[in-house]
Amino acid sequence: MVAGIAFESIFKLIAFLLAGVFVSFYMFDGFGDIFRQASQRLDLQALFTLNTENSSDWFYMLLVSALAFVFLPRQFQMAVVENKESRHLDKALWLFPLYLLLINIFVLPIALGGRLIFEGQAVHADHYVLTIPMSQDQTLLTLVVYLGGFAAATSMIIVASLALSLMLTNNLLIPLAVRIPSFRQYYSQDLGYSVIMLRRISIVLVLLLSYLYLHTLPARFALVSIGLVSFVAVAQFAPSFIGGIYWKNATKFGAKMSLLTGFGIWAYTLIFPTLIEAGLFSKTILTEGPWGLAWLRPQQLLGLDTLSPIAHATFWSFSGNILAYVLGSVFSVQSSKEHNQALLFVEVFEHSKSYEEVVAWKGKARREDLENLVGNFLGQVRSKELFRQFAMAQNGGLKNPAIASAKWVNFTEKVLAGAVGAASARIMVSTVVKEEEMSKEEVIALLKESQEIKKVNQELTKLDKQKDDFISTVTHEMRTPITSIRAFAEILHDHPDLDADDKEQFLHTIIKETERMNRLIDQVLELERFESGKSSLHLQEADLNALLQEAYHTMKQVCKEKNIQVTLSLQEPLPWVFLDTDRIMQVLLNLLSNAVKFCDTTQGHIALHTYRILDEVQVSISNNGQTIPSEMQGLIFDKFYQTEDQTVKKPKGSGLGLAICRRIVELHRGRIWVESSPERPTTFYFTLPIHL
Amino acid sequence: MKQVVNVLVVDDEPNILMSLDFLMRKAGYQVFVARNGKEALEIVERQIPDVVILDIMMPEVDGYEVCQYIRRQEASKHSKVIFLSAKTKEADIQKGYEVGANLFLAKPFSTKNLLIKVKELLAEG
Repeated sequence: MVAGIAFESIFKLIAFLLAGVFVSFYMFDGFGDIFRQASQRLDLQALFTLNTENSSDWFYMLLVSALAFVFLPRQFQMAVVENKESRHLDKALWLFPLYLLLINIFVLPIALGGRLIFEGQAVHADHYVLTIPMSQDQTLLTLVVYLGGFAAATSMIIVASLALSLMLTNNLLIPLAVRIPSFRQYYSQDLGYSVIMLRRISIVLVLLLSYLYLHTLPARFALVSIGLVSFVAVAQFAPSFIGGIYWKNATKFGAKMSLLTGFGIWAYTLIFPTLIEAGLFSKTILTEGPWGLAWLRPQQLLGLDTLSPIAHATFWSFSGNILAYVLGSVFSVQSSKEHNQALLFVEVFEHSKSYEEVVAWKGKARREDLENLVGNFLGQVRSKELFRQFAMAQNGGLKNPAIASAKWVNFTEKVLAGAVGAASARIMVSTVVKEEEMSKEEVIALLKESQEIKKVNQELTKLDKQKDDFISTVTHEMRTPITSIRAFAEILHDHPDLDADDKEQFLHTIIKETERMNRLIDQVLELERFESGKSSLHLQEADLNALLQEAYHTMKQVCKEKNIQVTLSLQEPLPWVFLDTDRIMQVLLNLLSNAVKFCDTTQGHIALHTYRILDEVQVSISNNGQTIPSEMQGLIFDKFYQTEDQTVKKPKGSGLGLAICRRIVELHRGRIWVESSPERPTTFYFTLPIHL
Repeated sequence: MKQVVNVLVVDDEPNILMSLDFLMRKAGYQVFVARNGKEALEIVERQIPDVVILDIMMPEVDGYEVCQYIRRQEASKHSKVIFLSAKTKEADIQKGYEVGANLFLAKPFSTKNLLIKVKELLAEG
């Protein structure tokens, strides 16, 4: 249908532009000529100025037209209901105004031209576009314009009656019908058919009503004024509609009051007078008011007599409408359901996603019932297929739950809404679903929970990635010693005639590499134990200075061999601290052997310090080797910190020693860090709290 | 008797370097060893290698960069490059061939296989 309407719109535009060009450039010498001629005519001069009396009319007309733009059923049908993707709106945003500009560009020239050509003749202004070419014997152009107009009228009737009948069936007839038990029993067999019938009936009903309006009401109104009457009516939706989107505290009661008041005033001030004109009521009501009450005169309500009927009706209906909406909302209390919906509507961009995921709904339904319900409308085959697809998307089709979760119910409602509209879908779903009302707190808790789950999920994904990286690094690190071991084993195997020195060296390397490999495995397992919390500390009060001296004695020999000078400056007395002596010894040995490893190769110097700072004991181990670049100082405590940059390798070691040190120190609630700069020796610090 | 064959072995792991050096010397090649990418580049400047056995993960200049450099130089453009790496993910291997390697071998490697492959590449000319 949309394609048909689009074609009609373009055809109409071309017809109108042709007529416009014909009038402006064939009958006259362009726009300038028309306006010049018109401005010389006294009766038309008035049209060129905005006189003060009706200037406010323009305001009201623009207001209701702008609102009609969105709320008129056929506009809403095209912009919202038939809209498949919201991004289409971006295009419509410039294309539609452009279309309006084009189709309106010749309105003034044709209108003024018509007045000039048919001076003094009784020709209806609505028909100028047709009668001008006709009067010039332009048969073809007349035909095109006629067809354009005919197409326009047809499409307007089609879209309008379709939109109205959809509104009528989806929101009024079906919900009403479903409430009647006997109907429900009947339709449950053949729901789809009855919906189609209801829709057909409502189309006929709408057409009949409009025909009735055409015949009962005086045909003295121009198309424009009939249109304006309905524009004002449709504009009554605006306050509750816009309020519903932006105002969280609006209530259903307020919206009802708004619509009742607005339509009431509209009917009284605009429709009632036309009924009077039609002779259904006494004319005196217009002039003296009902029961002689002058302030109730339909077109001069409360004595307001300076406005035209349309402006007058707009002013009063809007004032009443908005006032009723605000007061009605303020003085009534939202039910929890209303509040939930208001939240979801107003904060649609914050919650829509989580809502999709959790669906704030508590209730029970059998999946089979839902499937049958959809089947009534779309056919059982299609319904089965849709549910199968949804099951696939949900759980890979593994299991089809007999009891439907909220997601299933939501899905059913969505599918049904596509066929019968949201209001009807909701009611129908509720016939198969036992629903329990959810409190506001529960909904909010659900939303929060889903957001938290999302966050936890992200963290887990990150951890998973870290674990993967760790495993890939560990396996890579293990391959290095294996490579050496295999290479030398093969060399020894393939060359029985090796000289004794080579043989000795290669075997020695194999042994060393096996040790390295074993150390790596030990450390990985140790770190794993720490991280999984399987390894705990055995705390006892101990003297850190004594531990440090013990560690120094262990390394003394190595230092001597490498000609490294070691200085100890230990604060005495140092408070005893609670610690796991084995673990802290491990940290000290690791830091010390690192210091030996990285010390200056010719004039090595290592300094050990202990001192108390406030309620902590601090240990520092410095060496005069290479400076650690500042960007790496934070990273070296990470497991295999080179995972950040796969091509950079640490000089030696497993890459796990410092990571283990950090775990141990942190388990003691201490801190560990390194300071290194060209001016100062590289120093590793760690602290332990005196009071655990 | 054919002329001397120059083999450049590059690895930052001393033990692996030692084994490669031994293997290549035993096979009768003239061996140059580089402990990292930088040293490798310096050697390529002075001496055009017939075969390069190249590790990938090395500090500062990695194996990929070394290979790219070798391919860019007019003199070493036709040298045979074998990557010998523990990085054996599909993407690593693909990148190896993209930067111009003749062969990609995984660590740990078979010494026999390595020697056969070197011989084959040299036979290709």
